[in-house]
Amino acid sequence: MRTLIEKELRENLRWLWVGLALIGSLVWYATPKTLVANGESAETLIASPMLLGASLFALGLGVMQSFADLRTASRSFLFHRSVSIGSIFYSKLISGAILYFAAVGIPLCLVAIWFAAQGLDYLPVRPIQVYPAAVVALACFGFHPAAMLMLARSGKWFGTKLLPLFFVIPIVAIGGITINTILHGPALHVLIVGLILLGDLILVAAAKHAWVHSVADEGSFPKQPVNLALKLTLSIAAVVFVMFSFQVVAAFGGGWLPAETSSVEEDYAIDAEGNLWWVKSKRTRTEPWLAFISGDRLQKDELPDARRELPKKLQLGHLGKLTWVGTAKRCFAGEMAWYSKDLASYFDSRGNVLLYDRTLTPPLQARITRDGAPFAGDPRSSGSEDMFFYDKSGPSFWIDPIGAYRILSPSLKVETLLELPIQAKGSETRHTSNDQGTNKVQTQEQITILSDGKLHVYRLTDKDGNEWFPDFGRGKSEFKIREIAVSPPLPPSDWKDIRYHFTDDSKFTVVLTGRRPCFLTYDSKSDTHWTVTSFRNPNKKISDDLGSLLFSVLPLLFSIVVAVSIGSDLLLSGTSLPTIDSFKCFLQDEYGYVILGTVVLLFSMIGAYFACQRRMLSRSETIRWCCWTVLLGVATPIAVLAIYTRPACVRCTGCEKKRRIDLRKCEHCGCEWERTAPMGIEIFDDGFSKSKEQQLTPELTR
Amino acid sequence: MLNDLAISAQGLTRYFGDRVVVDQLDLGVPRGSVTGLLGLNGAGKTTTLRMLMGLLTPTRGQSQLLGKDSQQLTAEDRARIGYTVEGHFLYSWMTVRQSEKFQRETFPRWNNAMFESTVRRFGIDPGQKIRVLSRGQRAGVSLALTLAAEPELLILDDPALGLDPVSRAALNETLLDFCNEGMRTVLLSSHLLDDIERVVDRVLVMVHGRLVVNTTIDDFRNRISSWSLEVPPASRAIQAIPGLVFAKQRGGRTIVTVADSDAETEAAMMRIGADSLERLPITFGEAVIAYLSQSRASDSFFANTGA
Amino acid sequence: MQIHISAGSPQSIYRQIADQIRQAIVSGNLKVGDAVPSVRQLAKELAINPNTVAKAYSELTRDGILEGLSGRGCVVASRKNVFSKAERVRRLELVLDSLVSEALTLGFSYDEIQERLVKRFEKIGPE
Repeated sequence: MRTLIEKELRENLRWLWVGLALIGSLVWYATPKTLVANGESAETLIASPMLLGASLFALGLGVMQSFADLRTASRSFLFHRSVSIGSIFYSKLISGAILYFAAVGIPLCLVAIWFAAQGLDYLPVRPIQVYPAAVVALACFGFHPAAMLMLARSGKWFGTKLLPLFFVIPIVAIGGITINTILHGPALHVLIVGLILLGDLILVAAAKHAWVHSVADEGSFPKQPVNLALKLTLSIAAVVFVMFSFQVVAAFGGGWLPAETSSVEEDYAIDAEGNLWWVKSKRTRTEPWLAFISGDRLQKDELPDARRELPKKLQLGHLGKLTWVGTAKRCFAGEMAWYSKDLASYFDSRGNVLLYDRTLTPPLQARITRDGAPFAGDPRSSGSEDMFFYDKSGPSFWIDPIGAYRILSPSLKVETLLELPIQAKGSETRHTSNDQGTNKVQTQEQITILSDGKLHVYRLTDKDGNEWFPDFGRGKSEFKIREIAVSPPLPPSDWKDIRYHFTDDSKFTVVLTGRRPCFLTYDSKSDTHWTVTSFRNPNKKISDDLGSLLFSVLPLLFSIVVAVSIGSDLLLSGTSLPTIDSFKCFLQDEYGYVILGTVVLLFSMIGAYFACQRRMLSRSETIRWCCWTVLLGVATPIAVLAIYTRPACVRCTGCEKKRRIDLRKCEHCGCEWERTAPMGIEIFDDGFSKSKEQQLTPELTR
Repeated sequence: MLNDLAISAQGLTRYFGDRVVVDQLDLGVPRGSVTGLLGLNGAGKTTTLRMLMGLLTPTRGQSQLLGKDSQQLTAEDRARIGYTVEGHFLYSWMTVRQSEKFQRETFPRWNNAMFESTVRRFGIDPGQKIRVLSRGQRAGVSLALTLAAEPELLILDDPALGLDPVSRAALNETLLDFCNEGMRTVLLSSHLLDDIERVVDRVLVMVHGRLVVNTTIDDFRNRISSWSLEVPPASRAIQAIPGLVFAKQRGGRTIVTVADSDAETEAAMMRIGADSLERLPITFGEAVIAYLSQSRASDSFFANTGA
Repeated sequence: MQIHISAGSPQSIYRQIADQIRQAIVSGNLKVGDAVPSVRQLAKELAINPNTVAKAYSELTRDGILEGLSGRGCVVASRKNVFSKAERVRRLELVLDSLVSEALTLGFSYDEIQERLVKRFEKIGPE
């Protein structure tokens, strides 16, 4: 084995330099050297080119290592020696891994060292930020055994030969999850790496099998044996191929879908008087914004009917939503809190906010702490909701579980607004029409905080107490915050799924859709202040034509993966593939997508049956594959065609039908192969002699 | 019985697409023999050897090397079998020494004296890169590597292809030296009939994927005879001679090569050209060429009927 | 004694060897008790398969021309008749038959044949 590995390394060392140049230049080009203007984090910036470079390199290396030694002469020279073909395969895999991880690891280590050397004064980066790229690289190595599997199997290049590569795509996608979950606990990362290794293991088992039974020559060949790993690999690859095709189709805008293909949502809405409605709103392919189409006013103890026609001239608006404030376990330097043209803020490892100004050197301007203590907020739940920097001179808010603060500029001192345990927060931008009749719409930021069953609302005011509308570029230096505090008459345990809306300063609506659905209306002018109305929670009926259509066509295996996937949103974010919500729509849909799904399944089964016939599988195997169609859907025929090879057929001398050349007896009439009649010139001296007197005996030997 | 055979095959068949290349080969090669495999290009020699070596799966049938199924040869089985690839493939980036090391470490036994003497016989400097060697020297390295592993069974796929006379002589000497030591079986395919006649004691002839001759070289010579008849060429009657291998025209006469000539054969020939019937001496080469020409002639015959 | 063989001749290699040894004995180049080269040695010298040499030697031994096969090598045997009188006559008749018929076919007269036979006898026969 050592000799074989040495041989592989010697033969392929030149590719290491190619790989180092490719991956090194891609990664170095992507590595942030100064503060990034668009606010992308270093892990995303490095991982994406790593995905490209590492995939290409692993694929190329696998092809190069296989191609050379699968040519007839070379293969015979290597395979006939006194070593098992398995160890030849493994030595190729191991030497490939050595070269690959050298080409991938060296640039990553250099970037990590460079990150460590930068220092937070210049760049908010830490060495750990290369970790997602490393996991992605680990996942991309799957292209190496996939390439070896691809080349060792017979098949047409424009047929199913490329299929094994598709198996690697979900492995790489799983590796890509780490980009967004770098702050999650180790359990998730162990799971991710475990899944990657499991996928690679299946692939390696399939590739080894294909190598041991490799077919050096092209052309149809009847008895290419298959094992479980190979079946698994190619079945999953076929499913991924189907998904990939849909992705490509969807990426081209779904132009093949009718313009009225829509997705319909049902939700609460509120009118100008503060009445609550249950409405249906719809977005279509050509008009991709939500439009209210029908709805019903929520009445006490009544079930609303969302299909009812809405009154004319009704002004409806959406409700705000409170999100829960989390406590940080660990903060991270690279997690970005906020950025603008010149300014950017990041959390450091202790929970301080680092404020950078791109125009100055060094760019680090301040470590902002709350009276010397770090903030307790969780950067994972952060975002623009937490801080508002309008520009250098503007005010900013910061909310964490133990208080709300305002960061004063330009002094960057922290002023404590509230010292309260904060459970939830919400922010919204209020659009207010100008009174003077001009069409200018002014926006106003407002923050709502839930603390011990009490809602606090903050708005920016100017120094005179008038409401302030931020005007970009002409910021005022000092602002006040107006607080409206209201305490709904409900125990804190009922505060779940809080939706809220301010009609104006005196009117306020809170909707609770949890265990006991009700809505509360606050009116400061009435005596009781609060009225509580309970209602019957309407069944949320939503529909998503595209998603449902895809789910009815896509293999069930994919739906199951989506359903059980811990991070289907993470996995599929950025793709056009439908997620769990669409799957719910599919199951609930009233337009017969389930029927469509069944029809598609039936056609898939017929397709699978014909694929099995084409590949001349036995009856029991055909039945088994038809059963698997339930799970693999439209991918089944592709899988069958990829896994098996079609045996060539010649005309049977017994029954005139086409018979398989690999079977001893004709599958139609059961007759054996006829020995070609001796020509009378045969000269034999051994036990297999067929001299003249034996010419008449083929019947006897049967 | 099977144990006395170093190589055996039963109904060994291989198709490429729906074209049959090796057709139901039944084969037995006794241990300790040197066997020559003869046939035209495309007769299925290389395919047969690759199937025997387990490098190609047969479409039907099976074969055994040293009593082990060709398709299930273990590393230990392969240690007992030497094989040189058609064209003497070697890693061109290696030096002769590196090739030796690679071979030595992938085979359990190693006879260094055998390697050195063979390399010397072909006049090769072991420090040279394979890339710069001549074809003959490459063959020498390939042979040295294979023989130094001390195989019990040696399968050589056209080792003499494209070699100069000196390298050919060296090849023959090397092979004979190798066979002189112990019960070693050699199967080699070749087109060089004179060399084959010197070296082998058994011959196999393949025609269109079928085995037509499998016997000792003397038995083969004894059972082949050549006759001269004064008859017009392309006479239908000639085609009817029992055991006719090949008939060709020489001057005004027709030279007929027949297998297992007996009274019936001679009677048939007498009927056609009794006055002029004459038995001719025949060399080994001519006998083989008669077989191979026959297959080519039937090719053109098929081509004519197809047209 | 030097043996030359050529491949591609109408005579098989083993026959060439056997004939040349017979010739050498008849012409006196090899005398009774002289050793002939061992099978391996001769095979190596001629670059031919040792089985071919062995086959030639075994035929010569069978015909009583060589003795002491295998191991220590072979020597030229003393002239003795391994065949019965009747067999010897039969073999001679066979050779004569073909000689006479071939000679007559070639158009030689009885006298011519006899004359040449005597000459031949004088040249290669025993003194």
